[in-house]
Amino acid sequence: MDYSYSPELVELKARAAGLEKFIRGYEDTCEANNGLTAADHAVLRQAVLDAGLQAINMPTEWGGAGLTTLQQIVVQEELGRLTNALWDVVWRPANALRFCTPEQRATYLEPVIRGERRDAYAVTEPEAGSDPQNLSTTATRTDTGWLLNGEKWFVTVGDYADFLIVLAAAGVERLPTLFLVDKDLPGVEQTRVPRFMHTFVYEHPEFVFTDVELSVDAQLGGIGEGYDITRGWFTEERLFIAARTIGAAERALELARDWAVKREQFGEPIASFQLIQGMLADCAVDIAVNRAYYHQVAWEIDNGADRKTVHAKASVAKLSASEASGRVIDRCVQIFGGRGYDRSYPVERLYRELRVDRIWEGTSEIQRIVIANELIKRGTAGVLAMPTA
Amino acid sequence: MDFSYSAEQIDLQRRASEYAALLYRYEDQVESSGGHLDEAIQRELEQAARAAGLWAMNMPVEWGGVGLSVVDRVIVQEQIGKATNCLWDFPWWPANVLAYGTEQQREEYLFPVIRGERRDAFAVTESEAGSDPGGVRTSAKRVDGGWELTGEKWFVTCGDAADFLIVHANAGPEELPTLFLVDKSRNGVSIVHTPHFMHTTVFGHPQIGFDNVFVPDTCVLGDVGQGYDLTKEWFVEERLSIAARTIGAAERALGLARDWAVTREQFGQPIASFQLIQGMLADCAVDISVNRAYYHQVAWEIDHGGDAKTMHAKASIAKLSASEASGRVIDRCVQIFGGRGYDRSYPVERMYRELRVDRIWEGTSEIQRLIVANELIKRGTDVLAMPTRS
Repeated sequence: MDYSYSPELVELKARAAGLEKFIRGYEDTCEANNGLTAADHAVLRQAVLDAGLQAINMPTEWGGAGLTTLQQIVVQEELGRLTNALWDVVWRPANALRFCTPEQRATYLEPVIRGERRDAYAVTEPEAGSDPQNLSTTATRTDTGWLLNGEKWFVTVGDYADFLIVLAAAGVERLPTLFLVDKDLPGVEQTRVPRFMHTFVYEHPEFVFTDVELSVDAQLGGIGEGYDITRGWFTEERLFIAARTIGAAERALELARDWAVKREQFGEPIASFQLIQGMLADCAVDIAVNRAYYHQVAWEIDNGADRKTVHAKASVAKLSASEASGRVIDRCVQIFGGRGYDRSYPVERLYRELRVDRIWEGTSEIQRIVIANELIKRGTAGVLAMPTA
Repeated sequence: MDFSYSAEQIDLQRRASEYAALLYRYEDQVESSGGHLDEAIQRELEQAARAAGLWAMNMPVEWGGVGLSVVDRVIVQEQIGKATNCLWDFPWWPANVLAYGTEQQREEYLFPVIRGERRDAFAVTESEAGSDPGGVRTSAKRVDGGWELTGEKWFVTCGDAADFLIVHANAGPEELPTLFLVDKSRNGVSIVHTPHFMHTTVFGHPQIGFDNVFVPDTCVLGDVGQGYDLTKEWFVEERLSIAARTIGAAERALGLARDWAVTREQFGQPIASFQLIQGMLADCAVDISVNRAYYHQVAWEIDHGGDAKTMHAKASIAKLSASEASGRVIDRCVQIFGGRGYDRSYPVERMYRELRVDRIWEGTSEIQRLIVANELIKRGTDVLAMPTRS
């Protein structure tokens, strides 16, 4: 066993922390203006490239940073400290784009990796979400390709993206299939931009597709492979949420701890009161145990663990960390008192932002179902066991 | 990084797991008899622990122990922690403080414990002292050639089975906290009361009185005034062991509850098909998984020279987190078992009572929180960092 970061990981963490610190300078403006200017985005894009942290999930031969899952965890933990979801300016193309043909790669993936284009994933619908079987978006065969019709919700980064990866029921057999859809195609309409609880650097708009003509080249992966490709990246994505939420929780605890040792009431720092101490300690517990676990699971993914077991373990990590960081930020807002309710304080923003991590990429309830299914189908030993050499 | 068990550790885990399975056979007997186990069986369990390489696992090989690393001990504790009725106490590990004895003390006390001929018990808590050892009233008065101990100690775990005690007392007029090796056969040592606790165990936690008990100078363990420091070191490893044992217990409980849920039918289907049961199963898996990862990490850090103060706080995080988590796990597992979970012949019922004390002993959850908070307040949040290669 070896629980320590290698010098390379220490360097990577420092690099990610440096980038995080730079991006942090944009939090207040993002909060005040509900987003950043094009000029700001250009500066941040360059900062990401300078840090070498563009497309960390993509291989170096395509221009990505080519990081292992464990290395990506280290980066995500640092970036997760950012409020206003500014971690998302450090672009990571959807893993589904790995299924691009060489031509699609040159047109879509590689420009995304370079930070010239941006993808957004469109899965959820009025009647489909955790249960994607109920897709009402359809792709109908035509002489030249496909005709896309339907509606998608919660398309994260859909405002900033210039193309969408759309899950649709293809053909008369209604086979779940992914399509690359340029936003400027006739019939693609961004309908509603909901105002969510957080003030996110990007939006999660709704899209309507009306007789959008797609060429045969727009199909991503095989016909009927849409679910599998989509599901395939849940494991890593959930693990990254675990890392980001704990990064956020750690920042909140640092701030709350510093506040508690300075803020005086009744003639002494509030840190001297046991009810405050208890909250600080419980935060440390929530952070420490989760951090150990998602590092372990990331390592297991990199070292060829059984895919089903790791899928359940990633759900354990996401469920546990997102719920834990929710508890942490609630306590930290409490320790800050009225200041914790003020939007100019990071703990206030984190309180709103961390709430969605118990919802997206599979709600806490869906994670519980994933885990329980694994326990019921294959027993308790596999999920709970430490990895073996 | 490398999170995997080596081939040796897999073998160690297997041996510990087989030993735990042996302990399972005597659980009902201990429970139904109110804590009785025939001497012959006790000797057999001790012998089996020795044969499995689990006896005196914390002591160096050159002294006759197994010399396991802290990670290895955690692996063992996890497995034996699955046994109910505190049967995990059979593979005896002497108090670490005995390693600080003089050569003569080691010959007279430690080595016989390692050989299984003697047994130690730690006596710290008193009516006015516990989490706060500053309230210790047991005194050691200077007399010719030694000391005279007077006072009363509570909750002396295994104090009935032990033949000598490690007693924390205030020495001299300066009241310096000091540890003494006190043979139970000495004049003036008496068992005052053996409380009947919530759990049912082979070894008790009696109250022991000391009435002008003479001990020679050769029975001072460590230096006069060193009592706190020696006791503190014991806490770090004991707390980590508790984390591992409680999660081992929680894992057994979840295995049983899962098997019960898939076989027990209601409304024409296994109760495992109901989401409210599934939610409980999943939450148990979460509580077990994240804690398991953490105490392995902390054990590894101790083995690799982690800073003593940081390790003290990390061990508190591990103990607090795991004991609270396993308390939640066993509560859900009892619930899944329904009425059977309330029946003492089912392990989950016994674990429900037994795991309760892990939030109390070796420092209550509240004391652990104070330790963790003190570390955060004094030295910032670095206690949260992953270790780095030196």
